[in-house]
Amino acid sequence: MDDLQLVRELDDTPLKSADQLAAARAQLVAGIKPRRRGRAGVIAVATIAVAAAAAAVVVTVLPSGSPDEPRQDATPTGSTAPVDTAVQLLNHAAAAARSKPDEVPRPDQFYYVRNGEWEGWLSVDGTRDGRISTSRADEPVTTPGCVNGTRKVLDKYDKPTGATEKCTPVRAYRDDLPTTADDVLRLLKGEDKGRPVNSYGKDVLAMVSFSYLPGPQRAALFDAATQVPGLTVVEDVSSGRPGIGISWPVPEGSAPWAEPVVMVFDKDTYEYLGTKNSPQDAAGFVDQVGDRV
Amino acid sequence: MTATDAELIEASLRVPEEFALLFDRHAPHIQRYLARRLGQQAADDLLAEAFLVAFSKRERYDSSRPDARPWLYGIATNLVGQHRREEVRRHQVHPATSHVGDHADRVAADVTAQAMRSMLTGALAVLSTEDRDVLLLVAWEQLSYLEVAEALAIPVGTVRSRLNRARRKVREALGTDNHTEVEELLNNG
Repeated sequence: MDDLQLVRELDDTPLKSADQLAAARAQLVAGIKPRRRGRAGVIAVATIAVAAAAAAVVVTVLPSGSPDEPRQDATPTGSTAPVDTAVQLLNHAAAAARSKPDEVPRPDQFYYVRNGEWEGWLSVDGTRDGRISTSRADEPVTTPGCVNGTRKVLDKYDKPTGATEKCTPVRAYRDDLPTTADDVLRLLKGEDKGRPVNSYGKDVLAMVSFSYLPGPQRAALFDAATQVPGLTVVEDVSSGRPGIGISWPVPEGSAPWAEPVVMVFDKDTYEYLGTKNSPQDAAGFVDQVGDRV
Repeated sequence: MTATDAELIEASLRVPEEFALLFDRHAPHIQRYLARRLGQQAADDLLAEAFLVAFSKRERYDSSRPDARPWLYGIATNLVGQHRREEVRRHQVHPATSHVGDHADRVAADVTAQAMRSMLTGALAVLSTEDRDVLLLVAWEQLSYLEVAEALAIPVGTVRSRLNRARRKVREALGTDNHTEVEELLNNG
């Protein structure tokens, strides 16, 4: 299966039946029929359709992307003992996360992430308007903050439509996650008792990749991961800079050429650096949208 | 014998209502394309508009092309471009673990699938509009390079280079130069 197939399988939007499309067909026929009205009539109908569409579009604003851990000055654990097992490495990573002076952002700040041309300014508490810029060629896009359970609906030019919608703040700073390994495990396990290691690994990866976890939360996550059987240590792996990695076997039934995911940690500080092939360019807290670290 | 799209369009120059037959033929796929890119609500709203735009341009249709799908996809893609911000926001998906307090005991498998889905849709979100147009017309709508070139009014070589760039970016955004790791991410979600 190639990447085109993956993109294809991402989507399972069904084809609609003629009945379901009858309203649009009627709209078309109404626009076609009055031939005498000429093109001006057609354009008028089309304009109304555009206005209706702009008013009806429900915008879902869920900032994310692929944030990574910020490059902060981590406090070395002082341990020079060789790391033989994934459990040891995760223990070191947890200790590093705990001992590191944590950067605590103000609620009105933004978590800035850069990955190639992709840049995101994600609201720390989820209540401020963020921004995402997908490439230098495209205009950036505003992601409205959620205040008192509502947020504004923007039009296609990012101008407020006057409408609002219900929401839950999407926080970039995750001090709301559990701080004990047991609670994290419970969170990871859910109700699925026979969950494969691959599934755990990917959840952990998603957690550290999509938001900023403060030290205690990150430490709890690493502690929890030590209790997941099947994780292995990968020596001499790189994610931007050389490090040491944690991996897990590809599940049965995978393609014969499938490669395992490797999460990479700094060799000395055990700071998380990214996955084997995807180091983060920059990440950190800034005061305003547009500021960079 | 069934009339070709080109013949229908030509007939609609004399009898405008004939154009509705073109809708019957292609609206389901054009609607799904709009829904994939902008969501069902926007797709329902924009479908009639897409065909009305086509209707208004039918005099300029190149009658040497029997199949009107590339032409209709091109028009639909232009409409998507006018709603690019909605599409970008749509691709900004929620982190997997954001409902810790209230959904602590939800089914883990769903969450993992969602996490991986997040990573892949996140990867789509990092593409420029022009690269995404090409990638999705090929991957989702299964248009040939020639048809994409026709739809977007660009040379075939440009289709090829944009598609290569888009695929490379998707692989990079998913953290791999090797697409097998992408597959691994999606396996066993």
